[in-house]
Amino acid sequence: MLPDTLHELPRHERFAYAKLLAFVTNIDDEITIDEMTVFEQRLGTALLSPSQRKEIRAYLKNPPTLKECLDDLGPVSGRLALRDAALMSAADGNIDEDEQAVLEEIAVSIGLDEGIVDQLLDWVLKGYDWMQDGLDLLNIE
Amino acid sequence: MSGMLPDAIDTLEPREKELYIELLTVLANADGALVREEMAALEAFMGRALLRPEVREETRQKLRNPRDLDSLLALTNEKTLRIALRDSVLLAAADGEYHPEEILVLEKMAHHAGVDADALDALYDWVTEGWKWLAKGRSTIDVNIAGDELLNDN
Repeated sequence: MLPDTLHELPRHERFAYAKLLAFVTNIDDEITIDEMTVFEQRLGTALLSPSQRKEIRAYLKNPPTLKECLDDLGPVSGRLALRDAALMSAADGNIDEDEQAVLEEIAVSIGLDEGIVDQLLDWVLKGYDWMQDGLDLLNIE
Repeated sequence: MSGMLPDAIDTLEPREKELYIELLTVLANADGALVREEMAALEAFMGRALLRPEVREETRQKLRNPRDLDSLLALTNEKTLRIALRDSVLLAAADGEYHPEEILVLEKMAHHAGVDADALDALYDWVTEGWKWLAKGRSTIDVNIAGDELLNDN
């Protein structure tokens, strides 16, 4: 995934963004390798310092509350966090009820309609098709 | 939901992942300037590959003094080269334009990976599709950036 606007946000908002992703990885009480790769990818895009990354990874074991995450997010970082939380939640091929409910709760908390979650999940699927096209193009198995 | 897939990068051995990321540092240095967008992309690729923290630190050091491209190409197998080529095109596009020096590196990598000119052209088109996909995602959450209107219209 290409960088877009996340790296331009103030550092404290990028940290809050990553904190929310750490929270979301814990919703179903297990972190799959697929979720972890997306989590680490987005953490990289956020250009956090090594110490901040360490702090964020600690949240994987001791997740913050959703309210703590939402309090620190700005309007743009909140929306990017929702988008990338959807991307990450879908990475293992399943969105369970708990994950869907939390994504919808995040959407409503940042002032969006909960229906946006389904739109984002459709968008995620298109992205995985795009990734597969890239592999097919180069005959990479 | 279905259709999720692990990326080919996950199938590489640790040594191949290190060569993969080194190839990306060569591309990142090709035009002599490393902008914030490219740094964010490179950090994302390191994260996606789940590289160990010490390898990431070594990679950041190599950004100042990357290894010679020819010696890296000689050490890298074709599969790793193809994955590095794909992600190098993405990296080159990260700042919004392909620089001539970057194109030379991409063409050399493609040649060594057995990727012909038509396939390389198709790869550039694939990256454009990726930009459109990202713009659609931004449009969904109403966080548009300059130029998105062109990508969303086409």
